[in-house]
Amino acid sequence: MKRGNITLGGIYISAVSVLLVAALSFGAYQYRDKQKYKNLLEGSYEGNLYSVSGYMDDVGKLLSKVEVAANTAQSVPLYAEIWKQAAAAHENLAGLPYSQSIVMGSMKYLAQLSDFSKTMLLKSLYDEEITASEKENLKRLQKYAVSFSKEMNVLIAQASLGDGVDWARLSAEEAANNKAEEVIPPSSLLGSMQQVSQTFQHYPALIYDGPFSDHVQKQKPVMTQGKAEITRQEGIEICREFLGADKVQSITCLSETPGGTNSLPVLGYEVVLVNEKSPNVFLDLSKYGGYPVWMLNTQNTESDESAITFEQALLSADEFLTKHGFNGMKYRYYELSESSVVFNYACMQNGVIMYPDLIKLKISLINGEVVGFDARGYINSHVDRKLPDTIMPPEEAQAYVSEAVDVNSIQKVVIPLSDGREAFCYEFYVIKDTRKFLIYINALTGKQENIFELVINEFGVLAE
Amino acid sequence: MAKKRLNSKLKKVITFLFALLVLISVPSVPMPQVKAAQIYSWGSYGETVKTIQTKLKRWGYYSGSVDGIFGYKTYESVLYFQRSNGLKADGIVGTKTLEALGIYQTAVPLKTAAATPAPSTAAVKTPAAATPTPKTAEPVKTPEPTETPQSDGQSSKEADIWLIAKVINGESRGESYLGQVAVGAVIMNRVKSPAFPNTIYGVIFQAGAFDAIRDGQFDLTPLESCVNAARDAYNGWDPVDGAVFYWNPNTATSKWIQTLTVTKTIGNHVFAMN
Repeated sequence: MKRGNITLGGIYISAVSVLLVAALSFGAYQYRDKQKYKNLLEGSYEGNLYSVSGYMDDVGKLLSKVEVAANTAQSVPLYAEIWKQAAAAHENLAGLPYSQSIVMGSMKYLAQLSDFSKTMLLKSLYDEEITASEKENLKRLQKYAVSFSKEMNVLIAQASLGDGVDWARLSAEEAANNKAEEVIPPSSLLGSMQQVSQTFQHYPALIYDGPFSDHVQKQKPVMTQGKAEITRQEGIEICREFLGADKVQSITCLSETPGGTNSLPVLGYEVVLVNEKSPNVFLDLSKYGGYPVWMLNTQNTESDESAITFEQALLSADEFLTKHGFNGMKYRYYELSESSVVFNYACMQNGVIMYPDLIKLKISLINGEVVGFDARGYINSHVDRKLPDTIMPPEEAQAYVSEAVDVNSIQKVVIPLSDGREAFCYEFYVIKDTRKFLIYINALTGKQENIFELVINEFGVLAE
Repeated sequence: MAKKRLNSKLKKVITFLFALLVLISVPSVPMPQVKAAQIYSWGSYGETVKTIQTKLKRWGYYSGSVDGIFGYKTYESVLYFQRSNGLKADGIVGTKTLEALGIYQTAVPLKTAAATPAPSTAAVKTPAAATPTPKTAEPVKTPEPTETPQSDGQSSKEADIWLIAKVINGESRGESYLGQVAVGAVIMNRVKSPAFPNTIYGVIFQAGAFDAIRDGQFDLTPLESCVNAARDAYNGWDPVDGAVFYWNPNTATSKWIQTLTVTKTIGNHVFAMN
């Protein structure tokens, strides 16, 4: 009995110790593993931090060199460097675990700086004069680069000296900050990045000829200018007419969006179709003029096979546009998916294609109905344009097209430029070996404004 | 000492010569005859996809159209086929799945693979095969079906759509379809904004930008509705009017959020811009 007891106790003790050892080694193993991943992550964060700092140092120097460049040949390589380095800094900054509220200002600055340099580079190439306000911009961007760089150096010092940075803690703090009603006093590194963001608090609007210029983000829609405001009730009638009175059961106005800096004020509606219980069509009307801006029919028409052919879908799209008074629209591209096709329509005026006046229609391949409508492009830019009378003849424009390609067709078009302006161009549809391209030559200046590769496959016809 | 220096100099010279030798010899190394390792998965298109769809359909795994587009229904039926036949169910048609389907591809050296025209099989009547003739597509003359490249390909746009769908699935698969499109639209609006990364993957993987990345829900296979919503958002539908932020008002209460301009509320999410 006694002997048995001892044995039992011994078994018990040894079992516990075996378990303990197993648990401890498991814990140690887990800890080591966790530490390994933590180190890997921190290494990658620190890599990003050093990159941003390094790029900013260079950018500051390059910007001051531009100011002393004597001619295009001297300034172009500098602009190219700034373009590249600012873009790289932008990318690396996005890899740091700071919340949007902290990095947004710096991100915007870097995107604009990169974009601005590209614009200046292209202007220089085309021998266009750099204006006084652009030179002013350059000075201002340089000043900001210097203070950005200074703050980054403080961060680097914190990261490289002493215990370094506890990125995991920083990350957790940021996550907690999003949920907290009061801002949690940040650890030192977070504080320093806030310092950087402070720098950009009063960063003024930057106006230049590029896509990220502040004026592009604030462009006013053309069609709604000077139009009367509609009431919510008037909107309901417009929706009913737009969707077809026989299809609609009820319409509710859900929201009113004031329209921030870069959008148009809209009224939002939801629609219950006949024979349905819940709303499944949603659309916005412009508050001024009451134009339908977009519509989506989210009704789930589950079916395995598409019953509608491409031609039937196209017919359905054409009929819809005619019925709603969009005349002379031509579809230019389309894109197929399993259950729908999206057509891109552009407006025609005297045989000239107006690419900015874009309407997208989504047609169901199950039942042929228009299940999506988007006229934001059209509303933002449609107007009876006064086109220039004296343009170069197409033969002259063709001289600006590479001789290595076969020109298949030529078409007069107006295209939107990335800086918000428009350009009257010849569109050359060309073939090089088996690849197809659309080349846009400005009909006034001969400048190549854009080039797309035309991609034709099972998914449709797209310009990329 | 002098000898030592000479030695190290000699070493350097030898190293340099050796490096030079390696450099020179590189071009003369014959290019290996690599088999064009073809896989067909999400976003693939072309004749082989049609063959895959035809086979799957004949055996009852697939009920969609034979359109040459590797879309959601094809993806699901490939998973079904793989599970039923003891293959790794990953939705990717690689060598093993191709063999199991009875599709054998001739190995071609990489160099000539691009130039070799794919065998033209009988045209299947699908929307894609019915590419509009120049008559309807004027003035840009969309080439006739016979002109359409019949080779296989992979759409990069579909890869982007899949990525967006994974975020929508992780963040808002419980929301209405409109709420799903809205989350996709926020991604697209960020791409266009200077204050965010300017690529789709850049926006999605910005450190800490989406909870779904942090909590791993991003890794789930997206629902079909999320993929459709991602496609609508990618194609430009924006129900939230330029919003670049959204949050759940029940869990996010920070001071900073309250300084933003709300554009819309859809389901459990408030959408806003700065």
